[in-house]
Amino acid sequence: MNAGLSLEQAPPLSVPLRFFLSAPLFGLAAAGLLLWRGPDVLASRWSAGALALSHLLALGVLSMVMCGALWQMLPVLAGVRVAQPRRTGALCHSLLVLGTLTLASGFLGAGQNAFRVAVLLLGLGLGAFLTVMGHALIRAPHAQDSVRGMRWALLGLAGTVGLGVTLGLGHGGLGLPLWRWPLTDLHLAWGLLGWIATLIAVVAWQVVPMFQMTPPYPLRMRRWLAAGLFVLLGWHSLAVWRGWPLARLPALLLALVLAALALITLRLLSRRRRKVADVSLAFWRVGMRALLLASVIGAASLLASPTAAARLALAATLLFLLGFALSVVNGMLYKIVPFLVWLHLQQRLATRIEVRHSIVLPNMKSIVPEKRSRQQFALHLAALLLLLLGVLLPTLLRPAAALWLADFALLEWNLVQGVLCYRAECRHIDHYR
Amino acid sequence: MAMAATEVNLDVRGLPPCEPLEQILAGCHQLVPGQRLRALVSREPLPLFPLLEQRGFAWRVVALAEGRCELLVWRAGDRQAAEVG
Repeated sequence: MNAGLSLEQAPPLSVPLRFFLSAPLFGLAAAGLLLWRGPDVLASRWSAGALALSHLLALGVLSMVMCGALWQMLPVLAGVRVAQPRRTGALCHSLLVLGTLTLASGFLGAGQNAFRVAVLLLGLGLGAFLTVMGHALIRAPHAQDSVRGMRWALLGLAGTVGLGVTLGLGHGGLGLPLWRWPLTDLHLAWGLLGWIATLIAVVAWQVVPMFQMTPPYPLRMRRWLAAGLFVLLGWHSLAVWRGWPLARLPALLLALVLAALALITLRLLSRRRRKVADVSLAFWRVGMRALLLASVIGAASLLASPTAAARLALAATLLFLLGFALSVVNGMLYKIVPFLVWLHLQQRLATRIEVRHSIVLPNMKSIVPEKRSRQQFALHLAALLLLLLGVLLPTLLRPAAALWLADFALLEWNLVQGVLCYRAECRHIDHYR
Repeated sequence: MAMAATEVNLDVRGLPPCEPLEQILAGCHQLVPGQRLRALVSREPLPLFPLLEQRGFAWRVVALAEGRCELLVWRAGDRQAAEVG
């Protein structure tokens, strides 16, 4: 049986790379905003700066990488082709870039029109992404745990976008009331848990055993985690919306599920067969410890007094976004980008039949130098710790932002090195005599 | 009656990406007519298939327990290697 991928199914390298290379630039914008506006940005979750910052991170960095990765992973994991990847990828990427910038400018005072344009751009861009990916996933022949999980994650994104568009229209003054509570809380819950946490979990149980050489995730977890998260998320949403009693119970259970995901991943990482530690492993470990801490602090915020709850919720959200999601995404980029470069070089080499045995391609480890990625990890860790301390001592927020700026600049530099390596090797292959 | 094909065995379980793919590709290029490669892999190596196709190889995947597979590879058109057991 020659089932699997055909050459046409894998997207061109430019499709995921355009998303991956854009993400650190939005990180630079977010860090620059914190450096410019200082502690006021994190004074309240309702501050304009906090909303701009959170969307630059959640849309510009995290969703940017996750969307790019799905373009690549769907053919590999699900054995299904995404329609016209070059064209649809460029369209979704452009709309996501422009929409995120316009939305951030709206929060920073550019007026109602900015929100209207942002809603249009993001609604179209993410709507197109959901349509293309949803269509591919419905046709996926491999009905594995990952395919089912990705379907849940796309549903989470659809819920987040729907709530976000409603809120955005409210900001844009288009007839709908700007009903911040509970819609904002639900938008946040669906975005963080239904989209980001679900997709990271689904991707984790493929890439952690594959790249870190660990035993597989427990079958029950792979089968039920995504669906379980959605049952709890639905319960939480209805409880918040309808004012049901015990509204905190589903939120506490959600924290428990995420803590279990973190603990199981950390346990698997400690049992990896290959004992050589690389920078990707370091990012995964920090990410999962941050998820564990975010779950504990998030649960504590549900039981604390209103004043303490606001601070605890802010710390849990920062830990989730920067400690968990950003660390894991960073760790994945350092595996996915070298792997894609290697794979596309192998494909290119195969076209030069007469010289393909004479050319030795670089191995994955040399495509993005480990030393530089280690330096970026150190910056990332220092920025994260300083930022968390900054929740208690706001004077530390500007130094944290400066470190964060350096962190994203070095990440971009390292990813560009991978692209430059690809170009140099392509020239070598094409001109070898 | 056709001669029995010989097999080259390779166990790449437990190797980090992209070493399994590199070793399988290197092993395939050593195949002589009538010979095929039998590789034990930790999971179905989907990214490998376009590379095999480009290089003129055919393959068959046999699923084993816990997601592991056995991959059989031979030169496309080599019926002797393809038809054995």
